[in-house]
Amino acid sequence: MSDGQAGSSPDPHDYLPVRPTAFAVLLALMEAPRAGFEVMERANAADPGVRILGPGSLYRILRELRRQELVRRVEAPDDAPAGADDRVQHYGLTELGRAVTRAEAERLGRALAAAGLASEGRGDR
Amino acid sequence: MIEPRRVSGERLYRFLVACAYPARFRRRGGPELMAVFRQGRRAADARGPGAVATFWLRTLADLACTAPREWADSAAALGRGVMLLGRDPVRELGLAAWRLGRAPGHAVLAVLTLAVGLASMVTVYSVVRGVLLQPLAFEEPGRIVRLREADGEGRLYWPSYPNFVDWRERSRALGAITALEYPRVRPVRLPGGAARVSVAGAGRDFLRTLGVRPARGRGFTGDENRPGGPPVAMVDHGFWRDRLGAAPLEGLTLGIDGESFDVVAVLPRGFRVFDAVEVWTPLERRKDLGQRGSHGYHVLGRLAGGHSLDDLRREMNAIASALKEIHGADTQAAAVLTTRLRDDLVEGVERPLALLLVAAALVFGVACLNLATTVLARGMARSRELAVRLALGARRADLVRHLLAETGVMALPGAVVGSLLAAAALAYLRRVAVGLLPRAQEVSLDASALLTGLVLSLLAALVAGTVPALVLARRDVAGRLRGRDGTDDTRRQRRLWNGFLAAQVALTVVLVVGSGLLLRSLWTALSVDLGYRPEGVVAVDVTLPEYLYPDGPSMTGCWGRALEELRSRPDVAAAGLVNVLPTETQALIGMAWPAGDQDNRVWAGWRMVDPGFFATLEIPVNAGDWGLRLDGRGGPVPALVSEGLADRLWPKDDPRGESLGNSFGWREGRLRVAGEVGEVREWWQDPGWLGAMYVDYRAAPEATRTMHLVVRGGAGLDVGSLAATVRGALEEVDPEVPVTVGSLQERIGEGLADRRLALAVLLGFALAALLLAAVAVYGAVSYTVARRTREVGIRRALGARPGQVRRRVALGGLLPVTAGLAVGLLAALGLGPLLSAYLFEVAPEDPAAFLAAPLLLLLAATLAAWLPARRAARVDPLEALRLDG
Repeated sequence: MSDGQAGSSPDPHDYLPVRPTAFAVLLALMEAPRAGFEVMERANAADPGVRILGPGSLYRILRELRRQELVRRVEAPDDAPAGADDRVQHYGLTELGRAVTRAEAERLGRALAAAGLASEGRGDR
Repeated sequence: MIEPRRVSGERLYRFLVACAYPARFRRRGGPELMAVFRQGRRAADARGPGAVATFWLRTLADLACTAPREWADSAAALGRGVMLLGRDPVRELGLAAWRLGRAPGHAVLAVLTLAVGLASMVTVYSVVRGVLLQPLAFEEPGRIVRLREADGEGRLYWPSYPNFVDWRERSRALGAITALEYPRVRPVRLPGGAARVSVAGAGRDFLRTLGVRPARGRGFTGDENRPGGPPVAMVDHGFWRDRLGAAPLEGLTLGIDGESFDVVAVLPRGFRVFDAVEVWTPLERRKDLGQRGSHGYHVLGRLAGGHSLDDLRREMNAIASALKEIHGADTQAAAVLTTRLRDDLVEGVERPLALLLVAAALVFGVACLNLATTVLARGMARSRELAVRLALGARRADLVRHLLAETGVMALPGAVVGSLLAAAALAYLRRVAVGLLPRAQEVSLDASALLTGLVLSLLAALVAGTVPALVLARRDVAGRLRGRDGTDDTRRQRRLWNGFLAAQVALTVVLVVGSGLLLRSLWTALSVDLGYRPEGVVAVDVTLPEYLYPDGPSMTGCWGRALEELRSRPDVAAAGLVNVLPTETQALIGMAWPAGDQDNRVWAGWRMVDPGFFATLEIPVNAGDWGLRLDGRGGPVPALVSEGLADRLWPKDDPRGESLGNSFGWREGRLRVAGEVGEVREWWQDPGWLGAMYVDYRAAPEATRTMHLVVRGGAGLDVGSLAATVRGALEEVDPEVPVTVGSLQERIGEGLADRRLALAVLLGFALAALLLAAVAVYGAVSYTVARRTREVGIRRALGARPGQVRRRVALGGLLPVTAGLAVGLLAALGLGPLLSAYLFEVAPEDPAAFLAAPLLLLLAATLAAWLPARRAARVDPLEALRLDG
């Protein structure tokens, strides 16, 4: 089964806009499933406006995204270091999550373009 | 499973997580939190000490940010689950009602309990609101002040008229000021005949000061309120409706003291300042309103705009000092005491109301605890069923909701019955409390009091239901399913249960002790020897109108005829005359001393009597002939002194023949003691604290305008028919003179009424609480018995005798009761001073009350514990063991 795509599949646009913190988490998971700590580090590093303070905040965001079925728990990838803590949870995007991330990215892009900022930004550099 | 390597600080973090987050969150997210923490900590280690510090700061901040939100979320989730009442609230409530209906005993009791508790709370709250919190029915009542004279030693006096006039002229902080008089009952000719009516004078600006507009007509004009002004009157609304037949004001007149007063206004319904007044006349049209040293008026003022009470106080005290400079010893007013009218009116009832509020809160508390105990008991009895539900996948919110629905089903009827009870109680209070409680007529059960009550009871039910529900909904499925008694869970429940029970008992003890104290106090008061026999005596109040009896001889003539007429009736055994009834020993008192020895002045009452007075009231007289010889004018006048007065004036000698100095206007040496009479006292007085002297009324004919006739009927005659006889006889003497006839015993009762009322209310509360506590003990012990059936069975099987089982079970139930008793007694000791104002010859820590109350409670509790204990002793061992097999 493929994440409930059949029949009445939810429209990704219903989930927009995505909160910046949640979007940073989704982006962090875009490439591959990751462990919770990695997600936090990447999200914090990628977007200076986002600050996931610690385990509690991270858990709350991931729980919310799981409830919306944008993120799910996955098996630890084979390349996980041997002897690692087996209580470390790994997370990956669902198909819906992927679609929502893309839709949000497009929305932001369109917003920038509408304000005429997308090109100017480049010009300034 | 690979055990992860510990990192430093992990245990600290684990501890913090355990403290900060709700259990549910810890269960689900705990391991993951720890894993993220470990990874973060290792990463920080790799980066150096600075990173470790940052890591900890961030982690702590994270905890501080997320923990409160988790708690809020979890509370909201539980609340949502409970609030939804499933998908079908009607069905849920219906089910709860059905479950309760199967075993209604406890439920009905809990409903009644809540109703009683709620009713007492709402009633007392309404009274407090009406009396203390609601503004007076005047315009801007906060600006109305009362002014009194205060002398150098802080004694207070009603102001004198000359001082009042000076205040009026000099004060700038007062926008208006007025004087009014203490009402007096006078004979007034109404369109339908003469009647005794309470009449008082009102000074200029009376209505303007109070900010009141008449319901009909107009207030007094300045012309009417000046010496020699025309006779006009304002009447009370009830008086106008009932006694004047709501007649139009045009041409309506009242005859007072031979003058005809035109009625110019009807005051608004319920208008009342201090005492009930039926007719107001212009005070300042009278010519003589007293000297600077005679204190006879209430003075009220209204603060002018822009002036505060403090401004007024400063100004009035400056005025008083200036006046004191001028008038010296002629005026007592060294200062002026200025108080807000509201504070003045409710002075003295704040404490009783606080007392009632405490009592009502206690009953309400007992009621809530009772409700909680009931819910807990039902839940514990069904604890295995609840466990099965949990095991089958019910959520915690479901169970809480389920139990709360039961509480709700009990609370709703409780609230309705309670509101009805409160409405009835208030209607009763309004009837009996007029005169005992200021502003009693303003007390009403209005929407806000009722709403507050409903919200309170639902809130109480919610709290009462939630605590047991949360305890019962704990997830110890396995233990419960095994039905073990000894698990922590049931121990916790039993502790909670015992706590509820002990608290209930403690609150009840406070109430019972308080009522016991008041009961003893009332008993002492009622059994006081008054010194006379009031049973079967009728007292008549008469004031002779001036237009019919202009001088002394005409008045004494009338009194003589009245006594003669009364004594001629076959129903009358004895009749007498007195100027002050023995129920008012403090009226008309002055100084008395042995002639020539002014240093030995003592207070004494001044009584003018006819010799028949002593016979009628059966007061012993030890005197020879003391009748007045009317031909002996100018010679000595015989006087009788009461035993107490004789003892104080002539402690060693026989007083007979001694000369009596006095402040009643009799020349020194004129009064000669002819003998002693028994002491008359009121129930609250120490014996002999106040004496009286008695003189034949004919010795001072001018002073007999207002007198009281006392009449004792023949054997077996009831007071009602005696009163009719008396009325008939006095009608014969002069139909124009209005009289008030009533039983003397009722007069005495009036003095006790406020204590009776307080006692009745407290006693009601105490009885209710006692009953509730007994019910709770009964419930607790029966529950214990039910739970311990198996244990009892084993004991019996092992050879325990029924008596031993009975004792053991009953004592187990009484343990929390004793704990509650101890706490309650301590609390009652602490609250005693609140009661002391109501106690008569009983100390607030009276040992009898403090012994009797717990004994009574213990007795009730023992009885309540004994019944189920007896049932336990009858348990058949085989049957009991099979139950759990």
